[in-house]
Amino acid sequence: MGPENLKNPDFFVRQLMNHRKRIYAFILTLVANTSDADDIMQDTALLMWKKYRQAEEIKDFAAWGMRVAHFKVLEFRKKQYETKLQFNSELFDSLIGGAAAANENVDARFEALKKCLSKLDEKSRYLVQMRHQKGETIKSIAAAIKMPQHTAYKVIARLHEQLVRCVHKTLKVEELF
Amino acid sequence: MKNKYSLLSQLIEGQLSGELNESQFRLLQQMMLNDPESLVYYIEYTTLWALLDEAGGFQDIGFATEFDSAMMDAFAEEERTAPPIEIPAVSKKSQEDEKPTEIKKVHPKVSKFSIVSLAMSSAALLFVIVYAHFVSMRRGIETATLTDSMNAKWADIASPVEKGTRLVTGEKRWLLREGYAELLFDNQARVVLEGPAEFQILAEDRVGLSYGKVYARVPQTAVGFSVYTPNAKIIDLGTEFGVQVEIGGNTQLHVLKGKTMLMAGKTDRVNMEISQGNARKISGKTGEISDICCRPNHFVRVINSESNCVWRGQNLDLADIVGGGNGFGSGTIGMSIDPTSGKPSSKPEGRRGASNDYRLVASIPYVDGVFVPNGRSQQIVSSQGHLFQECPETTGLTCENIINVTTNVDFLVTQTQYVSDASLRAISMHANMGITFDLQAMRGLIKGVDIQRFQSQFGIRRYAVRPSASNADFWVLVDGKLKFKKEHVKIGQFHSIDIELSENDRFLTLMITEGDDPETRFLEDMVLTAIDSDWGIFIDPVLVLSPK
Repeated sequence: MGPENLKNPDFFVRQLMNHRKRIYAFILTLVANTSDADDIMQDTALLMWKKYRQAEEIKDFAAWGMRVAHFKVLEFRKKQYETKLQFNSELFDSLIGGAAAANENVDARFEALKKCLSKLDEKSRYLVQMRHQKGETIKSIAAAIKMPQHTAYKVIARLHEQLVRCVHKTLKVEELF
Repeated sequence: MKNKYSLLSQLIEGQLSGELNESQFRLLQQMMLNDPESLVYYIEYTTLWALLDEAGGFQDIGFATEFDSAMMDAFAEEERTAPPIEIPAVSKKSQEDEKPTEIKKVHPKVSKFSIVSLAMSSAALLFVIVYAHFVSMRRGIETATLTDSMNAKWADIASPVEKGTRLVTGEKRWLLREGYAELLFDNQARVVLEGPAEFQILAEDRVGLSYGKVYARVPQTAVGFSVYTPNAKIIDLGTEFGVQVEIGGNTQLHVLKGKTMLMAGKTDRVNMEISQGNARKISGKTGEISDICCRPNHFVRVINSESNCVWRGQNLDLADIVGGGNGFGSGTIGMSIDPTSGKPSSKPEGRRGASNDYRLVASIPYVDGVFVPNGRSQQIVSSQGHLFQECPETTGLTCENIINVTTNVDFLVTQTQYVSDASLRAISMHANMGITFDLQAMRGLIKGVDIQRFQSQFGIRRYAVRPSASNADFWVLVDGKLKFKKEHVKIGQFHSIDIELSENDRFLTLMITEGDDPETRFLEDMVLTAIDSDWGIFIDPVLVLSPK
């Protein structure tokens, strides 16, 4: 990344969009809550922008972004210590290493996920779409499938489980199950 | 083993959505600490979740677009017959190891994006605005309140939309069949919708408009507030703007204050700043952007169901108020107020004398009172006892009433034949009369709007049967203090008034007196009174309003 690009918002936005998946996944794994992860992602992006303009050279944008995100997650944990349940330090440390490793092949993982989604039957795809693309809550999905909320959890969790297995298999990583 | 992952999946799912209770959370943590496979599974699961949340990543795999109720029924049936998974209790010891805390869901009242954007440079602001439109939208969050509605008919009669209803972000489409509705977003952006309109609350700072009209007033705390239409995105940069989506698919953007960023075209190909006083039309068919005239009164900007007011940016018409209206055209032409009694009247009254008592007008909330000035004793000009110290001495005679009439300017200037296309509202006031309007009461008519100026034209009406005898003085007071006077106005003369008003001004008084004429005058072979032919008129007397 040459110095001529350092103060160019367009270039920064493109970089951020390219690597957003990795950074967001890293944050979500650490805080385990989508709403908190959204807020932290936003704060992270802002801090990245401020630092980016001051930085001389950033060789690995994603790795740098995750370092900034790590800092923001720590800040969040400190702020929310009294009000939110948090993973203890031992588990948190384990997750940092694991999340960064899982992120390394995020693009391949994303491609695998698309393939796995296309293998789902129509109704399952529709539910995934409701949950993620349309952002429906479990409550509204429960209403749509005419079942209690806890059943909707079960359905969505099973679909995700199915996708995790499929992605895992597609990537031909170590057999988990 | 399979059951372990099913349980894990449900726990992770619950945790991601913020729905786990404390013991379930402890269980999830315990499983990951004690079992490396569970830890790896959790990481894979959350990574998958993050990827699935990526906006727009799945357009190419053929998601269904329509809700299929048969499909959902089949799903429900499957789930009814599926075996349950129990979540086991957690040992007390493991719970005691951790601090006893409680999950509290906190939703931001004000968009964090908007607040931070205030502290940033303009380049950073641009970045944040662009970035914010790539970020996936959060759903199901209460984000706006219906603060008022007028004659509103909503399509969803099963769940009535009433004042105070909270609106959540999501896919729900709200259909306002007719009438008006005002929404206040938690970030303080205020939006007025004019039916028929169909809209969605896409995010905490974003409205989607399928068709209809919306007007947005966006304070600094909510910079970045956006309106999405089928073929354009309008992003606020600190402003007031109106957007109309026509049934045919065209989008119109009218910027009345500040500036906006317009992103138009099917793939956001064109970005441009549109500033105050400008308007654009984006073709629904081609996406082509064209200049159009900015129409300030095209959108309903403020509504007030209590006073039955719909404000499109127009001025407040004092003649309409004299006619018993609310200043926006609901008054009656020909209606009048008798200055000798303070009562409404629709009958002509002849010449008569009266004391200079201040008479309250109970029938019209925006008129404080009326009087017949004579200057012989202290002249009270408001219900709060404001005095007009410089009031000239008069005969105390008057004629007719204070009347809501229509006229035209040509008539006043040229004194040519009265024409039937008279369209301007006017207050007809013969000497000696005064009327005091209650500005404070008018401010309550449409909250969020300031009264900025009083403007009017004035002169003598042609009704004067002896035009050469006309001679009157015109006065304008604010809280008893003289702000304007024009003496010895005669027929054929035409003048204007423009007075700035402040938010502390309470009463506006208009007064016409007899112009120093002697009590008895001789004109040719006639004996005339001092008030003869002094048919004063305030043409287009308005209060100029502006949003706060």
